[in-house]
Amino acid sequence: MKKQQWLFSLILLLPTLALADIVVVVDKNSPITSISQSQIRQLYLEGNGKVGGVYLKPLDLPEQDRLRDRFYLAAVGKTPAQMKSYWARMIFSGRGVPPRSVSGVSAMKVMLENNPERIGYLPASEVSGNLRVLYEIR
Amino acid sequence: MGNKRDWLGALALTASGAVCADQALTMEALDKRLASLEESSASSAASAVSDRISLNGFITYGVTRHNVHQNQGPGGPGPMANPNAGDPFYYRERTSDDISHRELSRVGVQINAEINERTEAVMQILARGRDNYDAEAQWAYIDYAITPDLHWRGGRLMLPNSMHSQYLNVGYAYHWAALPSEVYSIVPFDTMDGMDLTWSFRTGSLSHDLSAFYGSLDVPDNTLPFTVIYEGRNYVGINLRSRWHDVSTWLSYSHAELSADLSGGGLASASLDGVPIHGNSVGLQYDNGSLVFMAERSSLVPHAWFPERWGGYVTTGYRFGKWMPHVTWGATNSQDNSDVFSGGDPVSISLAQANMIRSKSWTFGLRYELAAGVDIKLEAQQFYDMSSDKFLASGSNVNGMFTTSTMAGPIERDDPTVYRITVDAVF
Repeated sequence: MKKQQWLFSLILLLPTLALADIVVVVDKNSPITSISQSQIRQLYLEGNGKVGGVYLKPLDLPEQDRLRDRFYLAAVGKTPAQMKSYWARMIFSGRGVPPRSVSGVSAMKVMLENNPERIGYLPASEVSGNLRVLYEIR
Repeated sequence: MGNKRDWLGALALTASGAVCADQALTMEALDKRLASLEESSASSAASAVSDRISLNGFITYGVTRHNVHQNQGPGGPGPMANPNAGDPFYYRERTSDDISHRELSRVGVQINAEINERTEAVMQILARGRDNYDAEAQWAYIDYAITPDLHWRGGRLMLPNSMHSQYLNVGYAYHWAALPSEVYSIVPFDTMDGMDLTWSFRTGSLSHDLSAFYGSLDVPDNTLPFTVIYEGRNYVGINLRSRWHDVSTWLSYSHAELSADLSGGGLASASLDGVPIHGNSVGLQYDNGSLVFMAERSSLVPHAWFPERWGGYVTTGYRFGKWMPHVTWGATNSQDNSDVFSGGDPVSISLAQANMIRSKSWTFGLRYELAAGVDIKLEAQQFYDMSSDKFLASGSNVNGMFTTSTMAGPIERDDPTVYRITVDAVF
């Protein structure tokens, strides 16, 4: 009976675990412990910014990466084409440059683990002990 | 025998497993090395040229024509004769009823070079089909970050006359094939030489960019039979761009002193000597990813024969996947020139009458996103109510933006329409 209950709770938990598939992370040495969605949005629309008084520079996965598209849709509310058009306005009027793109998930991890001023996003399954999860995208 | 075979099989499996594990380890190690190489190249950004210099560009290829298959009339006898009699009507002095491959086509390349953590040099070169692709610097400045939120820039800057002015050549950045002429043809110059100071700050969940500029400009103009250099001095302005979620707003004000020597063409009485000129603009944008709405109003108030003019538009569009149909209503009108008309100088009066513009239009367009960074647009802009004749002075331009001649006679068809097809890309 106890085993059944345990299995039941696991089944209930599984969908939530599966849905929280993108996480926003920083190096575990970063002083930042939490972030709001509007702060994530501002960071990724402005290319840099302050969260809780700490200066942060966001990182991006490559343009063709499907996780990146899902992240932007969920956290920033914009499609890849809209972001392209947005950054065209910003770059060509000298108002900003987009976040730096890394080559993939493992590069994102290494960059974040060694740079507390960086912030990025990863598949939830890729979070290592050296990183701190600030926000879960469900 | 059977046992021996099993044993050999097991050995083979173990060996292959070991090889696989070994390969996986190697791949992981390689991955790590690659990532740390990337990381080290990022941390030594100052020495890596590719990290210090970024190259971006934009291109538009477009075709355009209008449907006014009529030539300009001869006008009256003697001084009332139209020097452009027999020529087609030219929308904004360039587009006729013949297809033009040049008018909308242009290419731009921008280099951003990071000099150090606080300093950046930026150059944007633009080559327009209508200028035979002769290259010209639109942006050429040095940017110094006094603090991360306060930037000073000096050099050649694009003027922030209206909401989209500072990226007006980047077709991919907006949904039209051409920005609404009701607003974007009011100020006949795009760049100035000088400096600006921009402060980025937040109030709650609102982000703001407050910017002030100071500079000067020299604009050669060929709309008269001779070249006139319009000199703008002590050009100052201030603008505020604010963003809150899907809404952004725009406010701007500018002031300059304008001089122009028209004596070379025998029009000395219309020369300008430091006359004050000011402009202002207010705009609103909403874009929730599907629904787009924008409205803007700009005006230019020169205290000279050059007519005071305002223009505005309202536009909305909806994204259905890669398709975006949109519709825009625009209007522009030259305002009070009674000072010029009562002043009695015939040269100033005729220049004012020629430059008065009244026009309204409906634009229907369709944008299709070929890929992220590439689009194709189709557009038709139909004009109406273009006569300034009833406004303050008879004998004024009655053909809106289709001619500056007051003697061309009215356009006969009641649906003068400009068609445009463009392909835009950013890279």
